[in-house]
Amino acid sequence: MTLAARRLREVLWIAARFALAAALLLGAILLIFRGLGSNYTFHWAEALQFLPRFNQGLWVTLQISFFGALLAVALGLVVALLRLSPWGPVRDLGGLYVHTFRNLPFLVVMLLFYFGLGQAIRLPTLELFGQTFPPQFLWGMLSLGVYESSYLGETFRAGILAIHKEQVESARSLGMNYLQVMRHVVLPQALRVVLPPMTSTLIALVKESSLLFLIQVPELTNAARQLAIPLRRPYVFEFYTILAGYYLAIVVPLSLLSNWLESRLGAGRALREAMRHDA
Amino acid sequence: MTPEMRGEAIGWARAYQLLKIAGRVLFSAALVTGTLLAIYGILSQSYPFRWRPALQDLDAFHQGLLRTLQISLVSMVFGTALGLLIALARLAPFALLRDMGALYVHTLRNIPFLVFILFMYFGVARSVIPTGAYVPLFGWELDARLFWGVVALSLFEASFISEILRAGILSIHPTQMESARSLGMNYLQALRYVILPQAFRNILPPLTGELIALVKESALLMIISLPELTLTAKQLASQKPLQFEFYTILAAYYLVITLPLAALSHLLERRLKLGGRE
Amino acid sequence: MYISKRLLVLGLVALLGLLLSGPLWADDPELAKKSTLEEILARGKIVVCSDIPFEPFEFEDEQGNLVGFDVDLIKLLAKEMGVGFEFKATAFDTIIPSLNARTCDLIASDITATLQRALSANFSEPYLETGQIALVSLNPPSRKAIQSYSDLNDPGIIITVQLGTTGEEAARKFFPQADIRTFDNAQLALQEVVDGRADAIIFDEVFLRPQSQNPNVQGKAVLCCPRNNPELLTTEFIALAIRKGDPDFLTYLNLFMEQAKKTIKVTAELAQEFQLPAQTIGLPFLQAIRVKWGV
Repeated sequence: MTLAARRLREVLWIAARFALAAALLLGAILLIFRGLGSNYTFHWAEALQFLPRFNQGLWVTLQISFFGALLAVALGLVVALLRLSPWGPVRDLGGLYVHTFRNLPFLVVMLLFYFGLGQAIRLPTLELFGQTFPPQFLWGMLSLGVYESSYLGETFRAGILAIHKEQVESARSLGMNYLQVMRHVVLPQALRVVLPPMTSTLIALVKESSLLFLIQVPELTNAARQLAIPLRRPYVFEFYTILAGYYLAIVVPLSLLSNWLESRLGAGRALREAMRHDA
Repeated sequence: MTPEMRGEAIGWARAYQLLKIAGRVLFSAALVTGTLLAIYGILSQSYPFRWRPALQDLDAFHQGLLRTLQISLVSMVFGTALGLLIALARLAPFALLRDMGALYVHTLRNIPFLVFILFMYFGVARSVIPTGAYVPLFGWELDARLFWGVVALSLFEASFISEILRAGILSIHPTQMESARSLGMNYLQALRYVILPQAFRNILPPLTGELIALVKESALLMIISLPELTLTAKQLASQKPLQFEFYTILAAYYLVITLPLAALSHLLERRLKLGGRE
Repeated sequence: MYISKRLLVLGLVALLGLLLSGPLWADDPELAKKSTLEEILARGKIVVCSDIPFEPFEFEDEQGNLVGFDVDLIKLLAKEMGVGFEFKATAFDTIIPSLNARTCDLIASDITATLQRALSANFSEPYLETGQIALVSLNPPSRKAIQSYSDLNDPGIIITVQLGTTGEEAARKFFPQADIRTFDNAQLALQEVVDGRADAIIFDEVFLRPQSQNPNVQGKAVLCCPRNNPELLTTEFIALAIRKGDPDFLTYLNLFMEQAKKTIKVTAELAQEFQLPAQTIGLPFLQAIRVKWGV
C-alpha cells in the first residue's frame, strides 16, 4: 500500500473510533437526562432556522477578535520592551501591569473598562470601511487587547530572551549591524518560539470575547441570548448547543493550527507550558 | 590585606549592596505610585470619584468574597477528583475510553466557560431537566444556582486538570510502573503508591495555577444570579451610581485572592524544581 | 424749552422699562447650539437607549421589526421633528450611565421618573401612569399560597426582580425579609416564576398584565395581590429621560408630551397604523397607542 493510502486508512480509522466514542458519550448523556426525569422533545429543525442571526453575531465576534488581537500584539510588544528594560523601576512598572491583568478575571476588567473608564473617557462612534463601531465595540476591543497583552507581553519577553546572546554576538562579529542582526538572526528565531503561544492567546481571546454580550456588543453569545427566550421560542437547549458548536468551529481549527505550528517549529513547548492561561 | 581589613571591606560591600537594593525599591515604588496617581488625576477631571459612599458597602463585598472562596474550593475538589478519573481514562489501555476522554477534554477546553454555564444552566438545568429552586441532595435542599454553578465549574475545570494530571503521570519514567508491577501491584496500586506520589511534585505548581484560573472563572457565575463577588458589585452599582468605585473595589478583592495564590505557585515551582530530579 | 411734566414722566417710565426689561433680552444662543435638539436635527436621527426586548414597550415582532409602545411614541416624536430614529439595546441597570456616556440622546424604556434617578438625569412630562404589582407562581418553591402582599414578606419566599428597576426598589422596601434575586433582564426574572423556581416577581403593572395573558404563563402564574385583581403597591410615572444641562430639549419634549396628550395632528401614515380617521385632530393619541398595546 502506498504511504498516502496508509495515511488515509489511519485517518479513517481514527475518525471511526471517535465517532463511536462520541455516539457512546451522547447516548450516556441522553440516558442521564431521561433518568433525571426529562421529557424534553428536541426541536432542532426550528432552532436551525435562526442560523442567519447566529451568523451576524459570528461576524462581529470575528471582527472584534481580530482588532483585539492586533491591539494585544502591539501592546504586548510595548510591555515586553518595558519588562526587558535595563532600568529596574521601568521593569517593575511593566511587572505591575502584567501581574494585575493576569490575575484578574476578564469579566472584571471588562466591567471596569466599560462602566468605570467609560464614565470618565467618552469614546465616539467610529464609521470606518462602511461599518459602524459604537463605543461598546471600541471598549470591548480595548479591554480584550489590554487583557491579552499582559500574556503576550510575557510571551514576547521569553521569546526575545530565548535567543542566546552568543548568537547576537557572533552575528555582530560577522559584521552585521543591529538591524541586520534583528532581521536575519533574532526575529526569525524569536518568531518560531513565539508563534505557538501566540495562537494560544488568540484562542483565549476569542473565547473571552463571549463575555462582551454583557456590554451589549452584538456578537455570537448575544445572538444566542436574544434568541433563547423560553416564553417566545422554547428551544433554549438547542440554541445554546448551536452556540457551543459555533465556538468549537472557530477554536478547534485554531487549536489544530497551533499544534501544527508547534510540531513544525518545535521550540515553543516549554514556553507554552510555562504560560498556561487558557482561562 | 589583613583579615580585619578584608572583613571591613566585605562589610562595606554588603552595605553598598543593601543601599542599591533600597534605592531601587524606592525608585520603583515612586515610579509606580506616581504613574497610578497621574492616571487617577487625569480620570478625576471627567469623573467625580466618591469613595466614601462606596466604602460603606464593604460588608457586602466581604460576604461575596467568602462565597467566591467557598464555591472555588468546592469546585476545585470535585474538579480534581473528576479530572483524575478522566486522566486515567485517557491513559487506559482501551481505545474507547481514551477516545471518550479525549472528546470530553477537547470539547470543554475549546469553548468559553460562559457558553458552558449558559448551556448547563439555561439549556440543561432549566429546559431539559426540569429543575426547581432547590435541588434535593442527600436530604439537603441545595440552592439550584449553587448546585449547578459548582457542577458546571467542576466539569469545566476537570478538563484542564485532567491534562495536568495526565502530563504529571506521564512525566514519571515508565520503568517505575514496570518495577511496581513486577513487585506484584496491580495498575491502580502502582498508581497510588508509586507513580502519583512522585508525580505530585510536578503537578502541584500547575495545579495551583489552575486554582487561580478557577477563581477567575467563578466570576462568570454571576450570570446565573449566584451571589458571589461580581454579582455583589453589580447589584451595588445599580443601587448607587458609583460604578467606577465599585468595580475598582471588586478588582482589588479579586487580586486579594489571586495574587497570594500566584506567589504561592511561583514559590512551589522554585522549591519543587530545585529539590527534584528531572 | 418747555417740556411738559407729563412728557418727562412718560420718558422716565419708558427709560426705566427699557432698563428693567434688559434681562428679558438676555437669551443665550450658545446654549441653544449645544442642545441635544440641535444635534438630533443635524444628525437627522434620534438615537434612543432602551432595554430591548421588553414587551409591550419595545420588542421584535414575528418579522423581526421593532415594535411597541415606546417605539410608537418615538415614531411620533421623530415625525414631529422631521428626523428618523434608531433604538439601541441597553441593559436597564446601566441605562442612565449609558445616556450620560452619550451613547444615545434619550431613554424610552418604561423608565419611572424617580427623585433618585432625577439626580443623574432629567425627566420629561410623564406619558404613562402605572404601579408595581406581583405575579405569583401557582407552583411555588415555598409551597405557600400567596394571597396578600404581607404573605410575600417572609424569609422562605423567593422574589425575582430586574436589576435596577423600581420593582427591585419596591421589593426591597416592602418585602425586606424575602430572598430577593436580581436578574439582568425581565424575561429571566419572569421565567423563574413561570417555571416554579421563584414565588413571585415584582414588576410594573403595564408589563405584567399582558404577560399574564400569555398562553405559556396562564395556568402557571397569576397576578396578585389579591389574586386576579391586584392593587398597586406604588404609583409611578413613566417618562422619557435626557441628560442634565439641556433646558431646550427638555422644554421641547414637555411641549410634545402636552400636545400629545391633548391635541395632536395624526398623519395619514400613523392614522392607518392606529386605525383612526385621517387628519385627526384633538384625539388623545396616547390613548390610541395604549389601546393598541393593551397597557
